[in-house]
Amino acid sequence: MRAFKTKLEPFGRGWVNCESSDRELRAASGYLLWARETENLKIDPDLGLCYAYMDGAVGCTNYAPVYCDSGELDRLAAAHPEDADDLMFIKEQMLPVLKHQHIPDYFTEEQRLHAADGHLWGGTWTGHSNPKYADFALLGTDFFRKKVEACRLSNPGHDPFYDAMMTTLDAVDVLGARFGELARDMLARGELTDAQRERTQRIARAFDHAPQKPCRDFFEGVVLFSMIFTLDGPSPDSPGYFDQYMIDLWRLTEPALRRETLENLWQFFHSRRIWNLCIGGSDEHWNDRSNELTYEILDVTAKYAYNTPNLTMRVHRNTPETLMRAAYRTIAAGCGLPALYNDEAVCPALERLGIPPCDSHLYVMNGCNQIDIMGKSHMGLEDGEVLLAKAVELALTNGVSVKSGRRLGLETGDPADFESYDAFYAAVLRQLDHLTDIAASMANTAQKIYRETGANPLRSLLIDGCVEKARDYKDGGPLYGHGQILAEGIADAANSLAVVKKLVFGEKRFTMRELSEACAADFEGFEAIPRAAARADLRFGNDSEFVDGIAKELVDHFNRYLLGIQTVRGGWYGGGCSPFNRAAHYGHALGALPDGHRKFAPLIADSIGAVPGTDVNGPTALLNSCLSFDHTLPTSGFILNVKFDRDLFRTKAGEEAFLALAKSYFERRGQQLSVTVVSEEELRDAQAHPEAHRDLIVRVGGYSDYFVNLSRDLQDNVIARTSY
Amino acid sequence: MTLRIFNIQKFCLHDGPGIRTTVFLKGCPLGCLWCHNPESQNPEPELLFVGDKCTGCGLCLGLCGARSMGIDRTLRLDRTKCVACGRCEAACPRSVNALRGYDAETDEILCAVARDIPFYETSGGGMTVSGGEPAAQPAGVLELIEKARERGISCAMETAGVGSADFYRRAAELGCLFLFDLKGIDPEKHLRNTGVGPEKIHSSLDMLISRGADIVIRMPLVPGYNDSKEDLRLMADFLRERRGGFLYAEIMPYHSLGVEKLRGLGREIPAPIPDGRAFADRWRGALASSGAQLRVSGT
Repeated sequence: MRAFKTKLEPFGRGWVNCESSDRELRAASGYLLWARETENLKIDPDLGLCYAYMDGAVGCTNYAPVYCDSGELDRLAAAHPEDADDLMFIKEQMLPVLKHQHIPDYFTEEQRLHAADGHLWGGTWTGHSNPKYADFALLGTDFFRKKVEACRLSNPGHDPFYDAMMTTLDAVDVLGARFGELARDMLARGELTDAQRERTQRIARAFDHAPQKPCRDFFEGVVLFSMIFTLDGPSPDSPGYFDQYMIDLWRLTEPALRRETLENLWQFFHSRRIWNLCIGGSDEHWNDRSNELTYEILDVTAKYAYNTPNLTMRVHRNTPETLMRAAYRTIAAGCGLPALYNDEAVCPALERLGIPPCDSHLYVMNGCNQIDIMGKSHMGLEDGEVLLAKAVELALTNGVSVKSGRRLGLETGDPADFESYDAFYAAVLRQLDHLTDIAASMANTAQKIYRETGANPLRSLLIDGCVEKARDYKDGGPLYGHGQILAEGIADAANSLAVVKKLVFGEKRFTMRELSEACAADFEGFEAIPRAAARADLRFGNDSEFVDGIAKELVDHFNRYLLGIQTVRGGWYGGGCSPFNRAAHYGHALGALPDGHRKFAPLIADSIGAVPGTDVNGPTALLNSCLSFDHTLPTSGFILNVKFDRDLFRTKAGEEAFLALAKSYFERRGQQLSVTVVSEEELRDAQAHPEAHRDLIVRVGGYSDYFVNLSRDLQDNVIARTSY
Repeated sequence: MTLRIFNIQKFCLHDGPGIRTTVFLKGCPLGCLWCHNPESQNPEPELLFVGDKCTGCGLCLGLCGARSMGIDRTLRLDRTKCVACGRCEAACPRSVNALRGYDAETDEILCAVARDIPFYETSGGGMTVSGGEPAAQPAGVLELIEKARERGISCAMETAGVGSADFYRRAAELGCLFLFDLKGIDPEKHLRNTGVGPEKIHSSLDMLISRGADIVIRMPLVPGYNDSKEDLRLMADFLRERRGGFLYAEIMPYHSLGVEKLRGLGREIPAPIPDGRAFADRWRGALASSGAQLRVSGT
C-alpha cells in the first residue's frame, strides 16, 4: 500500500482498510478513523465555533460526481497539483472498488448529442437534501443509537448498514471528545483574551455532555451544528428550516448571548458558502410559524448583506404584516434577500407529488431554489433542464438543430406545410415532450450511477426513512424522492408562438415558408419580420391576454407532462423555472426564432418573466402576465425576478407599493418573488469600473452573486432586465 | 365617447395613494413656462423625436407619407410637413420617433385600467386622470370616472382648476380625489407664468372645499418664477385661510426632465431653470406659517 502523506490520509485509509463490501460501512470506517486521527480540528475562540476541515475527503463518496469520474480526476489533478496526491489516491484506490468510471460513457449517443448542442442536460449533479444537521444537538447521539438498534430489530438482515450507522455515531462522539479536550488544552495554555476564554469555557462545558446528550442552549447548539456541518464534507447541504428547529434552544439562552451567537454563526455560514436557509411559513392548518428568531435572522441578513446563505422566507395567508415589513427592510438593504416563497402555491404543488400536507408544509429550499422537504427527502439538484424555445426552433426546421446541423428533434414535417396554428403548436409540443424525455432519461441514468457509488452514513442518519429502511440517502432511503426538470426560455417560446399565431395565421402578414426561411437566414433579407414581431401585444410580460394565454398553455403542459415521469429515487419529476446563471449561455444554443431572437444571441427570458427589455408596461403588467401560469403545478421553484430601482426603496410610497405588489401576487397564488435592488447607472458603472463595485450583489435567478463576477453576457442580461 | 390621450401609465406611485394607473390626456388650456410634460399641451397628435438616439439608419424615410424626413447623419424632421401619422414610430428599431396623442374609447381605456384592480385593492390605489387638463375634455372624463366607479375603482384627478363648476361638482359627487394645482396667487404673475389668470382656479378650489371634496393641493415651485418671498407669503396666507379644507399640501420642486421633451418636440428651449430640489427645505420653511400639513414630493 502506498504511503499516505496528505490530509486525506485517515479517511482514505479507513475507507480502503475496511474490507466490507458494504459501501456504507466503508464510508463510516473512513469517518471514524478520520475523527480519531485528523489534525484539522480547530476551535475558533472569536466566533465560539468548532470545525474541522475535510477538503476533498468525503466528497469522493458523497457529493460531487466529479470524484467518481476518473477522467475528471485526471483533469483536476493536472489543474491542482497540490491536490494531485489526494485525487490519484481516489482514482487508484477507491474507484476500482466503486467499479465505476467515466459518467458520460453511460449516456447514449443521442443523449450526448443533445447535451453537446447545449439546449438540455440531465443528471450532472448528484443532488441536494436538507439533512437535519441540528438533530445531534437537539437529540444527542444516545438517542440515535437507540433508534438504530430499534430499527435493526424491526428490519433484520441489514447488519452492515446498521453497523455503519453505529460506527458513524462513534465518529461523532470521538470528535466531540477531541474538541472538548482541545478546548481544555487551550484554556490550560492561557493565551486567550477574556472574551475568548469565556467562549472556550462554554465550548468545553458543552462537550461535557454533548454530543451524547442534547445541548442545553443556543450557544451549545451552534457549536454542535458547526461541528456536524463540517463533518458532512467539503460542500455540506443547506441548513433548512433554521428558525423552527433552533427556536427552543434560542429561548433557553440568556438574552445577551443570543444575538452574538447568531451573528458568529452567520459569519461561519458565509465563510463556508452555505446554500440556503429558510424561515417563516405556515403549518398544515395555515397557522403562522414565525417567531422571534425569524425577525433576528432578517435583521442579521440586512446587517451583513452577504450573498450567502441564500435566505428564503415563506409567506402565506396568515403572514403577519410586521414580518412582511421586516422582510421588506432586509430586501431594501440591498442584498436581494430574502427571496419570498408562497406556501399557497408550493404546498399544493408538492401535494401533487403525493406528499401529505403535514410534510408539504415542511418544505425548504436547498441549493438555490430546489424545493425539498426538511429532513425527509432527497432530490436531484437540478436533475435536468430543457430549453423550451428549442422546441419551437425544431418545429421550424423539421427537427434539425441549428447549432450542430444534426437532426436531433422529431420529424414533424416541412414547416411550410403547417396549415393552421394548431397544427404547428402540436408539432412544438411533440418536440418539447421529446426533449423532456431525453433530459429525464439522462437524469435517471446518472442518478442510478450515483446511487450505486456514493454512500454517506452521516446524511442517512439525518434524513427520515433511511435508517428505518436500511438504505442510503441516495438509494431511495428518504421518505420522498421527487425530482426536478426545469424550463428555460419560456417567454422566448411564447413570443415566437404568438408571432406564428397572430402574424402568420391571423393577420397573414407572411407565410410559414417565409418565416422558416427568415429564421434559417437569421433574418438577413427579412428585416420586416423581426420588426413586425416587436409589438408589445406579442411579447410576454406586458399583460397581453393573447400572448400570456399561449405561454400558459405551453408551460402548464410542460409542468403537467413531468408529473407523469418517475425518478429513480421513488418519486416523480416536477417542473419549475430557475435560470441560475445560464440564461445567457442558452441563447448561444438557439437559432433565430420568430420573435426576432437572432441566431446564438445571448439574451434569453429572465426566469418566468419577460425577455429582457421587452416588458414595457411596468411591474404590475409583468406580474399579471406571470400569474397566467398555474403556479400550483411546478414543484421545484417557479422563479420570478423583478428588478427595482434603488430609488423605489428610498421612499415610503415605494415601501407601500412593494408590499402591495407582493401581497397581490401572493394572494393570487404566485409562487415566488425575488427582487434585485439596484440602479442601472450603478450597473453600467460597475461594468466600466468593477474595482469600485465589488460589493454590488444582484440576484441571478436562483442565487445572489457579485455583479463583477458575472460574465459580460450575463451582466448585460441583468442590465437589460427592465429596471422599473 | 372618446378621449384624446397620450399615455396610459401603470404602476404610478406619486399621483395619489397606492399603486395607480395614470391616464394622461392631451391638450391643456394653460401654457406654463416650466411644463414638465410639454407633449401634453397641444391637443393635436405630434411627433416626439429624440434625436440623440438616432443612428441615421433611414428605415423610417420610405414610410413617411408627408415626405417630412431627410437624413443628415441623423434624421432631420420638417415639422411644417409632418402630419403625425405615426408610421415612422412603428419603423424605428430604437424608439427614436414616438407619436404622442391618439383617440381612445373610454371603454378601451377602462379595460387597460381594470387589469390592475388586484393591485389597487392591496395598495389602496386606483386610476388617476392627468394631463394635459382633464377639465378640457369634461364629458369624456366624467364618463370614464363613472365607468371606473362602477367597477369599484377609486379615482383621482389632477387638475389646474380651470374647468366649469358643473364639471367639478359632478366629479366630486363621484367621489373623485382632486390633486389640485396651485401655481401662484398674484394675478399678474400667474397670467405671465401660465397664460391664464388665477381667479377662476381659486373659485373652483373654494367651491370644492365648500362641498367637502377630498383635495390635495399641489404646488409646482419653480425657481425664479413663483418662489419669491412675496409669492411664498401669499401662498402661505392662502393655505392658512383654507386650512382644514384639504388633506395636505405638496411642494413639487421643479426638475428639468421636460427640457429634453421640448427639444424632441422641436420647440423653443427656455433659459435654464435651476433644479428645485435644492430649495425644497427653504420653501417648506417659508410655507410652514400656513399651519397646513406639508409634504415635498419625491421623499
